[in-house]
Amino acid sequence: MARFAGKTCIVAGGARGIGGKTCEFYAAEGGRVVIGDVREELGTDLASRIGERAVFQPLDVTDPESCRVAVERAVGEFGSADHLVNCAIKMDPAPLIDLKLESWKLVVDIGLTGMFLMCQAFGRWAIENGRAGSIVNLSSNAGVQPYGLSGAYSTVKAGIIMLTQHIAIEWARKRIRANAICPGHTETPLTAYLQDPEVKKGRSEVTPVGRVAQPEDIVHGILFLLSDEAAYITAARLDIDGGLTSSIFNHMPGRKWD
Amino acid sequence: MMLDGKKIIVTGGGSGIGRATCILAAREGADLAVADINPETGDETVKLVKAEGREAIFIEMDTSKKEDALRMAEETLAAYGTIDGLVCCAIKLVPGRLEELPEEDWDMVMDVGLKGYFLCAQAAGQSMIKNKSGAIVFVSSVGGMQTYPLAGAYSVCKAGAIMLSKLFGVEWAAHGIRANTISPGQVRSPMTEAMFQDPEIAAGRAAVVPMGRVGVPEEIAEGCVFLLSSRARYITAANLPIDGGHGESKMIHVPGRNWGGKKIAYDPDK
Repeated sequence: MARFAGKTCIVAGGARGIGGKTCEFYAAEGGRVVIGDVREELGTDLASRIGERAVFQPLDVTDPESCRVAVERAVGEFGSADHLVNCAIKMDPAPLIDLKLESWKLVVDIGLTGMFLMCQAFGRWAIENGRAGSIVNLSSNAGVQPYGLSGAYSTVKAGIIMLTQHIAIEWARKRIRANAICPGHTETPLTAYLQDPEVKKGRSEVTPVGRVAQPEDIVHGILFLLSDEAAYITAARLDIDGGLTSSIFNHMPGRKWD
Repeated sequence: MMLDGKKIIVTGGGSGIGRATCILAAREGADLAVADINPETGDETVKLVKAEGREAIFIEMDTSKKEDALRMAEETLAAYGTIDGLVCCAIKLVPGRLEELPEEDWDMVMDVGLKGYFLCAQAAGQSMIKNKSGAIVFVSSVGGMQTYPLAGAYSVCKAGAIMLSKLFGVEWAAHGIRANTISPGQVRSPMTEAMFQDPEIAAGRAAVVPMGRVGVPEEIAEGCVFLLSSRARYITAANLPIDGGHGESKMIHVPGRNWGGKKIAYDPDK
């Protein structure tokens, strides 16, 4: 049976990468998706590839009105907004000592403030209409351990975990679940540096399972947490990282213990 | 189906979360080795798995004994020729105050809940290492992330189980084996049923969970099956709480939110 038959999901940052793959897989399991993104061309292309169960909605998560309109579009087009996946993010790396205020604000605005606004717009509709819902927010390994030289990214990703848990606790009795996923190194347009074979090889080697993730690896976790299979899961953090976060001692030389 | 043709061992498979995991795994196409210390409940799970149209064998064992763990792997291999997955659920809950906790109560919990997990994973892992493939799921508890006062060695044992699964996950990643933990919150199961029979306790325990209810074994089994399946192929050394938000709810119980004259009474239903 199709897991998402009759359900509608809004994917913020849904035009490409992990968000794009989420849209494809969600629709393939019977659901309908609103692809929210600032990238109109990519988003429109993806919607037409998926077909009648997808629409593109221009979405700037830093604007509360734009978030509200995205929820309205889901309801208008498909009748409800049951699920929300937040993927929108920017990376603007620099050493903290040189980090420009604009760079800090850009990443915080899109990654953290924008995620709050999108969740709030979704939550307002769901709570006003007495509807159950499930939210999955994309954090990162970098939200669990500091990612040096990533600018505001690590701080934003850590904030996302707490924002998600906070939402989960405040809205639990409203039947809205919220969970965070922390991917490790994942090959997406955001991480174009993985196209460099040397970087990809190095990042694969530091990961216990010996490879970087593909978006599909992350999407399976997103769909599990959205679905009723995860009915009792809220305020949780799921690492999908091939063991990366737990492996710092792998880098310690000199374990000639036998 | 998520576990089509997979051969899965579940310790503590005779009841509660273990039994629910056996049944759900069977529905997803797996054949089961039901390991339990109690042959009556174990045989009942075998019947329930067969009713789902899948194969099941019963292995009577004490998970804290190495020879039993080795026999568990042998009997599974004899029946199915391979071992694709292991779920460790077997546990004892022996509550007590630390100042008077008897050594044998400490040992009982640690032997079954931590050494037993190690022995079973080590035994089942031999075949997985040979196959360069396998998935291990340890059932821990929110008590492994938060102190569980008056529960004796339980929360220490459960914290150890989380770390042990991460260790298996990282050390055996090169063998193509994944290992993860599920940390259930409060679940109504045979282990906790006597407690939940008291209506006051049942109501009180539901009320402290942000979602407002305790969980059922099937909800934990869903997580176990997901982590066993190829959908979780990039997930290892992870710990997934399934607790209705309980593990993150401490600040809900802090009274008096009167911040700078802005008084907001915390009412979870508002």
